[in-house]
Amino acid sequence: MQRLMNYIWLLNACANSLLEPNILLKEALEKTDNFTRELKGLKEEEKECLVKEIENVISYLRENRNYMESLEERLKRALFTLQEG
Amino acid sequence: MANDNLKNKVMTAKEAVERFIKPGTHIAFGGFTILRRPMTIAREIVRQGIKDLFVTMNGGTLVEEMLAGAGLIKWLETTYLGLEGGMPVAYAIRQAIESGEIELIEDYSNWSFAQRTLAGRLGLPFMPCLGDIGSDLIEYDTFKKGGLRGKREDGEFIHPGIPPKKYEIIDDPFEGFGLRPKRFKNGEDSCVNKTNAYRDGKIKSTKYTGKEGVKVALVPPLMPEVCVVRAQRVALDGTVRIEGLIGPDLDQSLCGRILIVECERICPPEELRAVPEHNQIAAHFVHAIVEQPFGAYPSAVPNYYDYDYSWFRNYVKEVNHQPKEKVREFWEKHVKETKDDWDYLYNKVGIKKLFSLRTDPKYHYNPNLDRFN
Repeated sequence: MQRLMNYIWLLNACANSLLEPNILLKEALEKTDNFTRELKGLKEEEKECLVKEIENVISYLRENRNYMESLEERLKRALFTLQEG
Repeated sequence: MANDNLKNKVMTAKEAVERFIKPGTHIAFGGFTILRRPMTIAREIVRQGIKDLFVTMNGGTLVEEMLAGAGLIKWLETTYLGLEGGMPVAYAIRQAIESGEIELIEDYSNWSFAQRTLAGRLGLPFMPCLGDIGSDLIEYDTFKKGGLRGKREDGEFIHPGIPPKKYEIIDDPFEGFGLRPKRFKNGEDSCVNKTNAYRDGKIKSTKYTGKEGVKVALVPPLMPEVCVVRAQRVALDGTVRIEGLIGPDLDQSLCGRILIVECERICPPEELRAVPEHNQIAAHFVHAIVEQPFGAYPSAVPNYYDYDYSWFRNYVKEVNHQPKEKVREFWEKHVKETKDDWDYLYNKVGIKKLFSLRTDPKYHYNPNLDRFN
């Protein structure tokens, strides 16, 4: 069991570190529709800057989502081993 | 300097400057060289033309170069006067000193100045340091020459922001006990912080005190009327989150009477409560919160945007070795004539330039930018 604790503390660090992103993501979700409504009438160069910003954020969201989904799948297998093995 | 009024802290730069900064105010600017300099408040001071400032900072010089170029500094207390590799000696400041426009300039090392801010923050009468001993910093005291040190006949200090002495040198009351390397019973000293000049505490110098042995320089607290610092995020209640290198900002923010924090974004308090240990300044210390995205430009804000080397290159080209009128004209044209900081950033700098400085989350800076060389 002592050997396993290193990995458990790693998961614990992951979970702890997700608290702030959780709050930020909820806040961003709440504000996104309003932001989208305000995008009309921007100048071309303003649009270009914002497109880059949003594309950048999407790429980071996607990367983290992929890691989280993969980890979740593998943890489910670990859970299955614990419960059924 | 706790602020009891927890409401109405959010204000524009114009309101903050009108309310807290007057001619002659003793003001400490935060940030370090080209990092998180509070340019929004500094530019507003230029717009309002507030003169005779007593400016102090640990590691400028962008803010101070602008204020000197605009002719607004009377006394300057500093540790460094350059714009990095672009302009190793800040030209407008040098010009203002040479012409007598900056009447007095006082100098400390970065470390002893940091100790001064720490003493100010903690309410201590002084802090000890070793680094300035043996240098000219101990000998030269322009505030003393200017008659600003000491007390008046009524017992008050001549100036509330100027201590009666620049330094006090004493014999180490602990006779060199804390100096490294040191003899331990169980082996060689492994501390990397070695005070080579005082190896094994066998210093024989009698300089400063007449007594043989280790000397310590005591520095007085720094207690400015106003501190201005730039942060990435400030919560509506005033809680401050600074990301990246903090430098002297924390102690410097808390050593004065009034604290103005300008920031990239004002956020809900819940956002900064998730990981409270990442916050630096508690809400009740903050008197004014000013939100201005990109407001530290042309300096850098880690995780948001990098510094703009092209700005520095252009500044050197336009003002170096130019007469005072030309230098003033530069700052009038670029800053004084603008309505507010967004007017400056949007119309003088340009949105494309600002977004070109955006940082990469993997590095916290922009790895593709032209740099000082």
